Amino acid sequence: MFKWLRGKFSNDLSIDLGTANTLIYVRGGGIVLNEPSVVAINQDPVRGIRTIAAVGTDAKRMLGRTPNNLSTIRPMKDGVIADFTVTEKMLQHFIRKVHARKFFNPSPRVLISVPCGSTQVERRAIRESAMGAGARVVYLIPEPMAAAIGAGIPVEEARGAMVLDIGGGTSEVAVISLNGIVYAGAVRIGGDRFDEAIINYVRRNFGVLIGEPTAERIKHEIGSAYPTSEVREIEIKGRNLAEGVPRSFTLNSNEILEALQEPLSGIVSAVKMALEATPPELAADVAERGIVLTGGGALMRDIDRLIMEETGLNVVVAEDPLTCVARGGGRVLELIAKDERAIDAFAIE
Amino acid sequence: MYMPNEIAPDFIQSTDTPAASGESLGAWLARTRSDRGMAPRDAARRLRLNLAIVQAIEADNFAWLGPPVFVRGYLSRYAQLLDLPESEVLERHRQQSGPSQEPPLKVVLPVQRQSRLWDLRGLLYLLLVIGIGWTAVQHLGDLDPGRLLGWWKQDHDQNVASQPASSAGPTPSSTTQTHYPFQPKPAEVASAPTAPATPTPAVPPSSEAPAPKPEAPAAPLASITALPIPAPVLPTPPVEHLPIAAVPDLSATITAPVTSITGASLDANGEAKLLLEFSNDCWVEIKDAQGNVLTSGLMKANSTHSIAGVAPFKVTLGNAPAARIVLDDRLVDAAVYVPRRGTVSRFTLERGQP
Repeated sequence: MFKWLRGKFSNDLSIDLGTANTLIYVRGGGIVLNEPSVVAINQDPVRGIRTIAAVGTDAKRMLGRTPNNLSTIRPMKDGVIADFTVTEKMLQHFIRKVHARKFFNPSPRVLISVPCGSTQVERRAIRESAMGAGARVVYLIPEPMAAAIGAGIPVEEARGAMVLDIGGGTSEVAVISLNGIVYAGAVRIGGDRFDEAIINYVRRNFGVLIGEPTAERIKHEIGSAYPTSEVREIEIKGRNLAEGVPRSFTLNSNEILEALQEPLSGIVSAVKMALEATPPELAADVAERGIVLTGGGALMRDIDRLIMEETGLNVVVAEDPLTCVARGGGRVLELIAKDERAIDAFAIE
Repeated sequence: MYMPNEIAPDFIQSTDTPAASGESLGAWLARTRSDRGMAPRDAARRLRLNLAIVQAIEADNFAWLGPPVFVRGYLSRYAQLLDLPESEVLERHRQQSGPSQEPPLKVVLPVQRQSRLWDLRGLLYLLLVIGIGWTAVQHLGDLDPGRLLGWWKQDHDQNVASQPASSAGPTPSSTTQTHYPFQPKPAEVASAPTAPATPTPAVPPSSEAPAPKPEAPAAPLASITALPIPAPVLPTPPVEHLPIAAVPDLSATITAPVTSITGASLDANGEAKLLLEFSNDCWVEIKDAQGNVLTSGLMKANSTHSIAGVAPFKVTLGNAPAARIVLDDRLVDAAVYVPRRGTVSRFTLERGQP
């Protein structure tokens, strides 16, 4: 009863609970939160009690720079929950943050996008985590479906459309037609794997150890998925493994391209596999219109060109690909508010 | 040779952008393509698009291209191919076609019913339920749990009886039709309706002699009472002269309580006498010619009941093979009322029936 009452003072939310970033879309308000999925935990050395020190952007600033009593945790891994309790606390923090009213604890209806390759146990963990964070009702929608809706693809048409959502932990490819997913495949390759590949490349070729934030900065600034004539460079600093002292050196985009070959080929393989498994009529539709790229990975330079060259199909990057999933979930939430029967559509659980 | 790096920005503004000349986006793209010496088919091949899509873009037919996400994608790639500023192409498209409206999200719902006649289905179902209920209420009297119990009991007894018989080997009586001990053999049926099997009188000596039928006025409806019950309309006779079983012989053969009708001299008023014997529990309902229910209920095994009323009788027997019927002192042929299948029998008894 109290949840129902508190629900009257809450806004419906669409949450893109990503490995790298969490985005929240408020019904009628658009994207209101876009923060890293990072939590800083403070552990009392005497009593051993763990408390939340920071969540989101503040916690990400601490990443790799924490003292002994602090630790930064990324509670999501490969698109699913790695630390249930911390995820619950993070969600609770974000849900409270997007609610202006402080008198009641918010108890909203929440729609969360989940990877289509996640197991029932992983989905249940996400649902219970959201319930524990105060959600009144939790709907789960497959990420590719939300991404397709957010990208503006008319999913209700009897016409196939292929979506490739490159997230922080997973890349998902799906063929959608008539409000349903015809084929869905997922590989556990995403932005985190790109960062990891860059760290390994730098250590192997330069003998320098760099941290995750540095690798992410390299990826954003000179990361490229396809060779171009324009070569860009970046100067970075890391700890030289042989000398044990910090050293500065320069990386160029061709080296990063070489570093990213393995994870990129994994994504291309997933797309090719999806095209092989797509029914012929839908494959013809996809060939006519092309593949739509969403997710933060779509922002990597020339990734569309790579997929276009590898598949021979036209590739389109959605507008504002980072927020497609949250916006798509928000549109579904708005539809549910108008017509409850929408829950039965879009493969919502 | 086209060398964009060597061209001054003011020159690009004056020649390549359509703003000054007022040409449309499609015309601008088409002109730039032809300036690059590229045929539409070459552009389509390099963009991995149908030629029709390239032609639609150059004809400013953006509505034909589908949802805005694809239009933006095509324009973006076309701009990259022609080395045009991508943002300017997209901005030009935005100005030309207005702010892009994402297609509304739709849910495929079940098809609505077209005919209003379907709406009457609920009413029809309601009427059907009412009809079934009304019929059930009308026949509520027939629903006697005792009858079901009797059937079960009969089956159970038959099973129990058949087991030792089968173990002892085949006997003449183990035929397809059950032969009850009290039922006369065909020859006996032809000769005499009643024959005492065991001379063990169950009636006291005082009742051995046939009781004189009292001269009581005939009751319009026969009522069954258990023995010994004095008839309320009779002159107060001594207790030993109370009317007893109508057929003393039968009562002597079957060691069971016998019920009889109080108005024993109904023959005089043209009423028929019906004697029912049961070797097993049997549910019975008998109605007279006027439809009055003379008796209804479960008759116990090894009991005899005598009924009088105006013929013809409508008889319902729940366990017909266990019954033996005597109408006006004449044994009714079992073939008349024993059904070929099952045990429930509904039939009409008339006077003079074999």
